[in-house]
Amino acid sequence: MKKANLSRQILYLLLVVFVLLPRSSMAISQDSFDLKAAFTYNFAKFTQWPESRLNTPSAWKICFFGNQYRDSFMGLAKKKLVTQSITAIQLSETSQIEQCDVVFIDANSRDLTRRLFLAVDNKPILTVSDISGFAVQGGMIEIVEKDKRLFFNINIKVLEASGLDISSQVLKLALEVKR
Amino acid sequence: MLKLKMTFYSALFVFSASSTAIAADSDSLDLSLQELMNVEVTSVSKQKQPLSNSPAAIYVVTSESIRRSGATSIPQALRDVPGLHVAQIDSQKWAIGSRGFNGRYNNKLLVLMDGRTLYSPAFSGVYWEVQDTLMADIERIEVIRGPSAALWGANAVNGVINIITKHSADTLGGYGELGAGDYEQGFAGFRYGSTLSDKVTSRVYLKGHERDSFELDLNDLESDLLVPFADAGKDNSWQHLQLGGRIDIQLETDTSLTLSSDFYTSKMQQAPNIASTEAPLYRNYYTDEVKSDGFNLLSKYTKALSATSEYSVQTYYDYANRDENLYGLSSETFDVDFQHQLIIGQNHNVVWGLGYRYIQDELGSSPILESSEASSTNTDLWSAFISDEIMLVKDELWLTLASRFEQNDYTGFEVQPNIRLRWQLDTRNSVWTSIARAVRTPSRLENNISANALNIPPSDVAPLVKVWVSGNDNFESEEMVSYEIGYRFIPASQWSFDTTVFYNDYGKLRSVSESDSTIDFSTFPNYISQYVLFGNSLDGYNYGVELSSLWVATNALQLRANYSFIQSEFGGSLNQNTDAPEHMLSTIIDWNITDDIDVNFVWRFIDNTNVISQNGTSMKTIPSYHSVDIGLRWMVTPDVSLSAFGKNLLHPTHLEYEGESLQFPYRVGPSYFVKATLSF
Repeated sequence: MKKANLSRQILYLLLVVFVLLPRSSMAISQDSFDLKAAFTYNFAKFTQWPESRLNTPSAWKICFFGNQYRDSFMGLAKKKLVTQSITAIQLSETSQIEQCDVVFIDANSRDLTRRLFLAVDNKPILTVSDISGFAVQGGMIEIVEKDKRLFFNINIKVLEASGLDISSQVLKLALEVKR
Repeated sequence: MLKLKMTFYSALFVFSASSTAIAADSDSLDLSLQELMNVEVTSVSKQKQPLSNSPAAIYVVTSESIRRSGATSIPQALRDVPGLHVAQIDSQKWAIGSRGFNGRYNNKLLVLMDGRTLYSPAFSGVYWEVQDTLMADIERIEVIRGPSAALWGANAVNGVINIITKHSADTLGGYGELGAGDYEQGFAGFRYGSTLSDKVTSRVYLKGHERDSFELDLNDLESDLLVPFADAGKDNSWQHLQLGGRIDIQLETDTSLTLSSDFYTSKMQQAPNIASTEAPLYRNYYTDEVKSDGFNLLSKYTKALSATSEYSVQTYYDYANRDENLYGLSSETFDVDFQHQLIIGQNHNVVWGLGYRYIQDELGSSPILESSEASSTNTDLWSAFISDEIMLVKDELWLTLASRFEQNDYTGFEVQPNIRLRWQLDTRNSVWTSIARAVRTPSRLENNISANALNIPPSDVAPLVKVWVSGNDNFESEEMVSYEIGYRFIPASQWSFDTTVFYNDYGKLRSVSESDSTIDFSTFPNYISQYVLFGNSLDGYNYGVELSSLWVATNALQLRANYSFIQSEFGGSLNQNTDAPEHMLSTIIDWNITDDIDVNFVWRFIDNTNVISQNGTSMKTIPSYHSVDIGLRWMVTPDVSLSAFGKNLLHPTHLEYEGESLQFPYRVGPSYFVKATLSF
């Protein structure tokens, strides 16, 4: 009987641990994969797209690389951008980039950046990445993690060369803007 | 009792309810940019498995899992990879094998670090003890079981282990670690990474450790070795110091250059035994201090020509020196590789390449080795490969045809073709299959070195006989044809399964046959020498299943289970260990108790392991064992962490493996260490 009491105490203790501890960390924290997808969506929202693109009646194509971001980006399909719906497309090769309006390339795909820059080649394709150094090396927006929060750097020179522009509100929020 | 159960279930219910609340909590897509910037990133987010699409039995050890496991060396980081048998021989020595053929000198596994081969071609095998880097700077370790010779080259027979370090842009700032325990008597590591300009990043690191001896238990010794040598082999401690650095330069938006270099020096105690001419044992046991050092310099230039075409040129120089009483061996390797990837049309993804490797080695004086060639020899290796991945049905069916062609000095021209098929049934199911041929080319030992393996005591009618095992020009490459089928299943985003079934058919395996020997009487009547030649008369097969599964239960809890099964059938020979543990099982639990505290728990079971006994004349079975590793980490501040690790717990000291003859067996036992890290 004494043993049963002890097990019960252990179970209560476990209950306390399970219920309290995970909750304490739950408040406003989010999975970084989902957050980066949300950032990418917001960047697309505040981008001034060329007239020709806005007049084209087709869904916005937001592309990403790799399996790991699949769930996070597929969630974008329920959103809209301007008046069009969004299609999330998983890429495996840089040759598929031309169809995209936005490309998110994650840190696991650093080796693809050289070809990515050649593929984008001043076309109006918004490039977003969490690869460190992305914005100074030829990319447009680099997501940076700092003190458990996400920030971003913008390379306005590359953006403008591609015929894109980004809202000044976004520029104000950027950590660094490279001109 | 019923009440107890109720309490338990309600606890479980509350637990699962609280975890789903995280997901339903809020949709980050509804937040503004400013709001998003205020959201905290879960300190350890889901370790989403970078599930590979490649049609091969591949498993990736991530930097996160290395960190959590507390691995202080590369072999430790490989411990729970499915299908890989990782066993410690003594404080410094390891046997790592995939699909059989394990051993200290396992010669069927190709190991690379950032494209530089760590496989020692002069003396078959990988000296795991001197393959090191700052563990925190490893980006990932890709382990491919089965042959990948078509891409990676000869000796990638039973697997390839590819250690990839982080880009220097990902290791900016300072990092220091300091730790100590019982086996890990003390270790320290330091790295500093800096941005030299917009386009240039770099890092330098320094690390060192001192590790204690493993225990020698007299029960593990064969009776004829027992009496005189109880004390000979106690010390197998180990000191290691290493430093290195890396620079990454972006020359143009489409061109990059990486330079890296490492230097190490290592001092290891061991107790070898060698054939001797002295009665009564005709074997000499002694203690020895091994000194080993090495240096390498690597450069890799990569240029994209278009969105669909990119080439790279990699060159490296590698110097490795090992100095022990048994033998001294140093080698210098110069290697240059060109590789070009291009996508042709919609359906062809082609990679081709050319390579040249020059190796110069120097065999030092040795009481038991002699070479029919000069002490210093050099070899040339030329290679070319091509691989074409053809998409047969859009986004559904891919066929890969590949082959490698090599010209080496010992066996001439070798062709290693491979055909692979991948079928993506839907987003959740994929199947792949492969047929590949791979060869294991001879080492210098098997070509022109004779080793005095044992001496037969003199008798009334005959003098002492020195028995030499001799490498020779007729020794050919070992061959293997492998058949594999794999299936990957993702029933839900939190679940994944990866399984492979294989059948390997081996031919021309190394043998030693007394019928193929010559006797030298020139030293009669003092002694005579019998030279037994290496041959290629063995063959056999093995088959098995490997399974790996991952369940991401919540943001805070993740479970992984890995299992492998193997059966083998080989013609009886003691020349190399063809066997592997029949069953290996490990489960790994990662739990983030809070945002700042996480736990890593590993339970593993390794079945009976057959090894070649110390006298080299019979097989010996090391009993199965299970063990538990526990790691606990507390992030004191975002930049400071304290952690404690227990290794090989809940099982008494036991043998994991015995090195091929020449060595005493040592026991692996429970150990612990604590560690502090600081980032700045």
